[in-house]
Amino acid sequence: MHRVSQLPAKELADRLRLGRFQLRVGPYVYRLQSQLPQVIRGIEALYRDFPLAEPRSFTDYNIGIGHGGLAGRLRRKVEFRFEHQNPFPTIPIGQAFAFLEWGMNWCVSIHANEYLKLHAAAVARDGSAIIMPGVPGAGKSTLCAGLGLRGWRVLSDEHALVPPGTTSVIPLCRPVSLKNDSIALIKSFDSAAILGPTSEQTHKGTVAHMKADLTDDSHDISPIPARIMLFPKYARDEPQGLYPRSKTQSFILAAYHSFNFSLLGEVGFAAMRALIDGVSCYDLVYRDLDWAIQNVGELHDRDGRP
Amino acid sequence: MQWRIEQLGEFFDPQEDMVVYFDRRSGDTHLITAFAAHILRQFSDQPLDIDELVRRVSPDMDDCTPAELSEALSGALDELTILDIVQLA
Repeated sequence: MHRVSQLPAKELADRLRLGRFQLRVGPYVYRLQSQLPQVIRGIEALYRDFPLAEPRSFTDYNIGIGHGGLAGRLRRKVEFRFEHQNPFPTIPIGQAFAFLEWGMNWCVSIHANEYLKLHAAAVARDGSAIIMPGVPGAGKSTLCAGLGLRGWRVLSDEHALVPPGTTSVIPLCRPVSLKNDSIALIKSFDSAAILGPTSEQTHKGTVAHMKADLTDDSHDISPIPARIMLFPKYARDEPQGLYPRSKTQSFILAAYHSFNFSLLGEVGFAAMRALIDGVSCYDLVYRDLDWAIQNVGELHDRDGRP
Repeated sequence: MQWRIEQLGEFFDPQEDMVVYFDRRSGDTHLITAFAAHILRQFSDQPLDIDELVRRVSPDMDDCTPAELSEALSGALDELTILDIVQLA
């Protein structure tokens, strides 16, 4: 299987320009078109170890990002295209790479209903996963990035895909989205962290993405059983702690963090029941990343074993 | 007064104080007390009144007098009615 890094720079740029760049991300294939330099740079930096889809592979998500016309060039705005439609308003060109990442997330968020989808980071070690749901700003991406930099396998920063009736997570590894203070935090946490283009003044503030496929099996799409559900909360002014949660409260909160729990109806309820039944549930309040990683590791050693 | 359930839903009951209930009729998910869930499980096709519910539930409620149980059932049924999980027959 060929990797993005095996393409000479000109070939990569040509494929992107012509919309012939097909990337395999977890169980899906994205076809991407763009000739924006920052997008090409971001792909080179963050997706270099991603597998290219085999020729003539079915494309799940046909996307593009670019000016879209002379007005876009004049206003220095870019549009995100999905199947030749523009689902979002244009945004400043300086935010193009973040826009691409959000657009790629959106593709999965509104499709992929063969899975129960949680808005959650997911990591794994020794073949056992931890699902970490959280609202934006809860600190799940920072924790996910930190764990990834300490040897954990990042399954996803955004979507935990759970086949109904199982407690497994389908890996969907993509770069981890870091916002505002967490960008500097992760840079100082590990100088080896590879970050892509920075997007300033987005609706989420400053955004940069971190390369997250850091283990040999990052792009293996075999399901990984989850045994822990952890609700992280980054809080500077609260005592750090790891607290057991009730399963019913966890069910409701996980449903709140799901993209399609209601859409799936009874199937969604049964899927969530099977999932919550099979995992231990905890709240993690943290302000120190090293402390959090150590405690998540100890929790995994205790509850994450088969 | 009698209450009925058009179609009994699904439960997630890990034996805690609360139970998650999926209402097939509305497609809504509710967090209800274990007592309310116990009441729901008494329903099948037939409407039930308070006296019948007291009779069915009392074997599981050692410490309650029938009067206390009747009052607790009324309160729970009011809430379940407001949530439209049960309906007045």
